[in-house]
Amino acid sequence: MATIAQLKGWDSEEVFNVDGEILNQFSSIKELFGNADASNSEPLSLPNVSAATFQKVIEWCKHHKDDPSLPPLKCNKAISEQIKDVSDWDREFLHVDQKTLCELILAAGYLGIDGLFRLTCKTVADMISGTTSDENNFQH
Amino acid sequence: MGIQQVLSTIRTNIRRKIIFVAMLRQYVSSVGNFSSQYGANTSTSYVIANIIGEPSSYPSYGDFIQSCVLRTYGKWWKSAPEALQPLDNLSQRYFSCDDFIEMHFDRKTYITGINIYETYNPGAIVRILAFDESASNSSHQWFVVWEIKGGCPPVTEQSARIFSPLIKPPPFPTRVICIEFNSSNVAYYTELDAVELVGKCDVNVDDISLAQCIEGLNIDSDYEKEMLLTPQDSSSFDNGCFDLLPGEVIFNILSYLPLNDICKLAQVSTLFYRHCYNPLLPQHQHLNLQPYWFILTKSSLDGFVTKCKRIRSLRLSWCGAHNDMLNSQSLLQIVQVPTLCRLDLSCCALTDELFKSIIPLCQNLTELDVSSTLKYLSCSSLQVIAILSKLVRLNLYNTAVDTTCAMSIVQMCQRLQHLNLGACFYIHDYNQVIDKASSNCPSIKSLDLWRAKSLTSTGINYLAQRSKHLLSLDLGWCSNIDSQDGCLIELLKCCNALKKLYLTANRSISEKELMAIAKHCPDLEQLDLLGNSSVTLAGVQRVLGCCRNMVFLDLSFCGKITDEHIYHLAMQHSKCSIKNSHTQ
Repeated sequence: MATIAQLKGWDSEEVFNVDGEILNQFSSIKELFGNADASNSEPLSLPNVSAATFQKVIEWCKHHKDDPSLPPLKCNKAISEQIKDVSDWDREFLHVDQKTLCELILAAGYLGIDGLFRLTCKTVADMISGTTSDENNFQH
Repeated sequence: MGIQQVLSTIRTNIRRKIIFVAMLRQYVSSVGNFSSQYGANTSTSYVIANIIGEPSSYPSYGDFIQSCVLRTYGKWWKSAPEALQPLDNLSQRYFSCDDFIEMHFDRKTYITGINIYETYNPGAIVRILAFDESASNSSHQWFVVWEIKGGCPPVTEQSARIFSPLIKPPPFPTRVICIEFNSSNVAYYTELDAVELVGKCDVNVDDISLAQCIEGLNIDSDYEKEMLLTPQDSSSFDNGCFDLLPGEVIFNILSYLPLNDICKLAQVSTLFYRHCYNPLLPQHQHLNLQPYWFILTKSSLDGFVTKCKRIRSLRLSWCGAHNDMLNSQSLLQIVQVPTLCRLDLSCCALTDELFKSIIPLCQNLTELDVSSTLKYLSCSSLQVIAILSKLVRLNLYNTAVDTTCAMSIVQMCQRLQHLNLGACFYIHDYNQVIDKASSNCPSIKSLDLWRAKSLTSTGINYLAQRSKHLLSLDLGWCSNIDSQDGCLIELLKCCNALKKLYLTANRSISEKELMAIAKHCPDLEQLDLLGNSSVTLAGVQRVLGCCRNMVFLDLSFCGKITDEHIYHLAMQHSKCSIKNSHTQ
């Protein structure tokens, strides 16, 4: 597929060629690019995403390009209903240090990748859940 | 001496004493609270009390009237038109119990094993708890001795079994056990014959001194916990990566956590405290305390007053039976929130006085569940429900409502769409209630009249004339409905939208009713014909041929339908789950 956008992280000159299938998942910035071949235009720098993180994001998006689009998140609705069990691939993919995970959340939020955003948030939640499995205590 | 040393000394002492102690095996002597039962309150068939005493059916496998049987099983209940939307799926992942039975034994023992005689469709037990009568701290009264997380795997073997889970022995003597069930994976009603408790009795042990030792343990662990939970110095506390994340991201992360984790997390730092007290968190808008019924104490509700300023639903089912946790000012403050529209109080140990003060505070309620509160709430306090004029859904299953009370409720709650009046022992004239309900509540969609003994064709005729929007009707065990006069045919003609129809054990159903179902109710999805002896294969085939969406059909104890018939029906209609229970 043709490159539609050229993007780079804030910390490096490395240019990432992004095709339509991937760009479509970046719901917050996809509007910035037309459908025309953009391989000759100036690469756009993403102010909040590092090159290493962006590399990971693209990897995730490639793997998930055929996922059905998610229903909008409703804060009053059961969220776990809206996210399926974490797949083995995703678990392996997110087997990273906390800082990377944190950057992935921020990147997913910034780029508007709903699926990755929910997945990473849930991963952090599971980590919290795992560490506080002490006695239940309801006192504040 | 360090804590560890103290603990190990105590443990050795306990062990040493117990070595000489005799083993005691005992069966259930009486039944405490329970959430539902198949049999009628006045009967001895299929009631929870059948769990008492030695096994009577084991090792036979089958459907026996002398067994202990719960009201529901399977997944169909959850897909019926009247099914409640789950409060939140989040807690369902961690808590999957639908029913519970509390059992009492004669003598206190240090239990080492439990043998549960399951004589029909085993595999529904998901958690077992033991009760400590002498616990000083009411949040430590219950001790989980066994549980299986995430629901139980289906058991396919069709034979009776003695289920003896590997238990974690509680550190105190007990004579009260609570067993929790999730019947959604069993193929048919699960039936229990008996429960045997194996334990070391206290003959040679100085019970009191031992109890003191154990209490010592608890005090120590409490102390340790307190040390851990002392709030951190807020300004210098490093939240790691969380300091980098914007508030909405943290909000999003927290919304995946079960409620108890949120409560614990609030103690970690000021940052988490702030986020964990956000009333907009879905866990606080839909507060579900049922999963924590056994650890809640009087002060438990206090923390939720500020957290639940935007509460929309509150579930207190199963709570409060063993301490006075509900008797708190905080509960009154929480229910006063004007956004509260759903209140689940099933098996909740409210006093009449408390109920009467709570209900008037929540005038915006649209959904109320007070099922199985027969033991706690009197008819005169249930009367107060009539002021909730916005109610759309009301569950009065197995409560103390009588004819007059039920009538005044349906008189005032005219928006009712879903009404459960099943097993209301004190309603002596269901026809009058149905007369009132059908004329006052024009939008009634589902009606559960399970075991409405006094309901006759008069009541059915009211429904046929006035409640044409019915989607779901449970007339199971309404033994006085005689369909010979055509009342059910008339009903089927008028209520074409029916999706669920339970005619359990109505002996007067004939081929004519089946023809009427096939002709008038093409949308029917669930049909229970258990015990209808004149139903024939041709009639059933006709129904299945016309009702294309049928997913559940119970043909148990239908004398004219043989096992071979069932086999062929099941082959032809693979989408439909056809049930055929019998005594072996």
